[in-house]
Amino acid sequence: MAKNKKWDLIISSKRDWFNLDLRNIWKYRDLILFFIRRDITTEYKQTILGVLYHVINPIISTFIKVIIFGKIANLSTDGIPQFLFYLSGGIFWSYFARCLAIGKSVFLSNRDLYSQVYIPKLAVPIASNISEFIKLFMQILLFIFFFLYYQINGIDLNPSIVLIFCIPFLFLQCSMLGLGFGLFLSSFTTRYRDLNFLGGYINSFWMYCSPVVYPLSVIPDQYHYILSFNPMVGIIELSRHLIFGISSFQIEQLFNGLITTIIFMVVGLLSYNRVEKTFLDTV
Amino acid sequence: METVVKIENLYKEYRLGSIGYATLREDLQRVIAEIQGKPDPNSIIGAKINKSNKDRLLALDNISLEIKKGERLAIIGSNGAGKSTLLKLISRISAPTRGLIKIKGKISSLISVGTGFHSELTGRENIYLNGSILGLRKYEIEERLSQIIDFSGVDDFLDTPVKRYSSGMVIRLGFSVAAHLDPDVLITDEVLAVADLEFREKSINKLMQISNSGKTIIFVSHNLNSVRRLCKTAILLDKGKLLLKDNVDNVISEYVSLKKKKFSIINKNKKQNFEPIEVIDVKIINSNALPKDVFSVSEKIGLNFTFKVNKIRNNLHAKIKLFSSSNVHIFNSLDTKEKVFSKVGIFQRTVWINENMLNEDTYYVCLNLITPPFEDPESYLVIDNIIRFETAFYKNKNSVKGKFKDKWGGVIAPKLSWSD
Repeated sequence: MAKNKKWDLIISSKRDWFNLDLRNIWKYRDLILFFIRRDITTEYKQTILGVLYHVINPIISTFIKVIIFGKIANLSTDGIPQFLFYLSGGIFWSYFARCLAIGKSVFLSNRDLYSQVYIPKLAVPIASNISEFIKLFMQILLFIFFFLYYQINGIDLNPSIVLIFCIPFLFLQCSMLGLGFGLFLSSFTTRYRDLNFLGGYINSFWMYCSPVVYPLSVIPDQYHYILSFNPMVGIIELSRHLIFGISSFQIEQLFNGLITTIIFMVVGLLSYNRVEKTFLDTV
Repeated sequence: METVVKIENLYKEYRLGSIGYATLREDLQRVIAEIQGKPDPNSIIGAKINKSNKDRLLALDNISLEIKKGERLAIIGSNGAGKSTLLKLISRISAPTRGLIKIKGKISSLISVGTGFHSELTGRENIYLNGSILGLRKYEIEERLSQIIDFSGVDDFLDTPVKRYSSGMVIRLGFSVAAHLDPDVLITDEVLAVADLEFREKSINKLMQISNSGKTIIFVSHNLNSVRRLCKTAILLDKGKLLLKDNVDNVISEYVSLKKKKFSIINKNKKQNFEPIEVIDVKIINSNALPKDVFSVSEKIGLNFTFKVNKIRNNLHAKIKLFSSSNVHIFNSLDTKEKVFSKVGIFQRTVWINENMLNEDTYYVCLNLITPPFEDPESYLVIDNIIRFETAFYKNKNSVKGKFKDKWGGVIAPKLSWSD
C-alpha cells in the first residue's frame, strides 16, 4: 500500500519547454478575475476625470496626428477623413503597444509578488491583457460616435457590415502579438537590463513600419511583400478595409502576419517558460 | 503516519558574482572571445577559467527529509544556513537545482502577510484579492469571509481603502486571510514578528489550533522559544546541510552547542574550546517555569541555563550581560554562589530579572564563565547573543506607564515610588 502513494505535486529542477502550467492557470481563474477587477477599479482612482482619460487620450493624440501628419506633412489618407483615419490606426497601435508593455515588464514589475508566493506566473500578464481589452471598449464607443458623426454629415463611408464583426479578432491578434513579443523581451531583460533601453526604439521603429500615420498605398509596391510580414500592416489595413471600404489590403498580409504572430507567441511563451522558474535568482 | 512531504536529495545552487547584473555587451564579448580562442576579457584576472566552486554557493546540499501528516516541524539554523531557501523551494517560489520535493495535499505558504494588497482597494476587496493570490477560489473566500473579518478585528474599516489603515491593521488583515486558507501543509516563518503583541499571541494560538486539527506545519524561526512552543520536531541546518532531525529539545540543544563552538573563542591561556563545562540548553521562562519569548514588562523574567559539567571547576562563576536591541549594555549579573560547578553532571541555574524593570524592547543575553579575582576575571567561556527575548507593555493600569499610551522612553523602565 505504501508503494501506491500518489503525490499531488512534485517539484523538480526539470525545466519543461512545453509545459505552460495551463492546468494551474485554470485553477487560479478567480485570481485572474480579481486582478482584472483591481486593474479596472484602481487605474484612475484619485484622478479628477477618472475613466474619461480612456477617451481623452486618443482624442488628443489623434488631433496631434491630424496637425502634424495631415496638415503639415500633408500625408495622404486615401480619401478617408483624417480624424477617423488616425483615430482608427491609433486605437489599434496603442492597444498593441500596451500589450507589449505588459509582457515586457512582467518580471520586473511583479517581482515582489512572485518572490513571496507561488502563483502561476502567466496569470498576471493574461489578466492585464484582458483588462486592456475591457478598457478598449471605451475607445471603440468613441470611434463609433465619430464615425456616425461623419456619416450623418454626408461623408460617404462603406463599412462592410458583416465583416466588421471580424474586428475583435484583429484585436485578439494584436494582444497575442504584443504579449508574445513582450514576454520574449522580458525573458531577456531579466538577464540583460540594457534591453530595457532598446525597447523604446524598437517600439517607435515598429510603429513607423506600420501604416498608423500613413496608408500603405504611399509605400512603393515592391516593399509591400516584406511589410506583409509585419502583422500590424495586415491588422490595420484590414480594419480600414472593413470600416471604410478603402485600403490596400491583400490576403497575403493576413496570412504572413498570422505566421509572424504565431512565431512570436510561441517563441515568447517558450522563452518565458524557460526563465520563469529561475528568474528570482537572477533579477 | 502518512508522509505528506518527501524531499529527496535536494540541492540549490546560487551563482555568485556578476551573473545577475550581466550586460549584453559583456556576454557578446565573451562569445566573440571564445570563437577567437582568446580568454574572456571580463573574467577576473587570476581566477580559474573553468567554472570553479568559488563562484557557486550551495545553499542546500543534499537534503533528504520526510514530513509526516500532523507533524509540527521547525527548521532551525543560523543566518545563511539555508532555512529560507528550503522554505522557498517547498513553497514553489524558486526551483531546485537538483532533487525532488513531493507533496501530498494542498500546500500554502505564509512567508509574508498581505501579499498583493493594493492600497487603493478597500479591506474587503483586498481580502478577495489576497485570498485568490494565496490560491483560494472565490466561493472559498466567501465561505470564510465572516471568520476572516472577525479574526482580523478591522470590521469597522472594511470598506475603507487599505491606504488609510495603520500598518498593524494591514498585518492583521493579511494574517487573517492567510490563517483561514485551510491547507494540508502550512509553511510559515517569522512573519508575525512585526505585529503587535496581543495579535501575535492570538496568531500563535491560531497556528496551534490549526496544527491540532491534524494539519502539518513547517515553521522557520530564530526565536527558539516560539519554536519550542509551536513545534514538536525540528531539523537543524548548517551551511546547507541537514545535520539532525529529532525532537525539538534535542535539536535546540544541538543548535546551542553549535553556536557555542562558533562563539567560544576567548580563552586566554589555551585558545581552545572550553571542554570541562558545556551549556546544553538555554530557555527564557516566566514565574511558572513556562518557556516564553514575549513578556509583559510587569512580569518576572527567568533566564534558565542548563549546564553539563564534565570536569569539576570549583572556582568558576557564571555571569550574564544584557544588551538592548540597539546594543546598549544594560547590566551584568554574577552568580555569586560558590562551588556551582563542583559536581559532574547536568543541572540548571536560573537568573531572575525583576518585574517592572525593563522597558519595551528586544534584549540579547550574553553568557560568560569566569573565575575570581573579580577585579581581573579570566573568561573561560563567552557566548554572545545566546538567546533573546522581548518585552512589552500590556494594557494594565498598574504598569509603569499608567494610562499613558505613547512610547515609553529610556533604557530601563523601573517602577519607582512617588510621595509627598
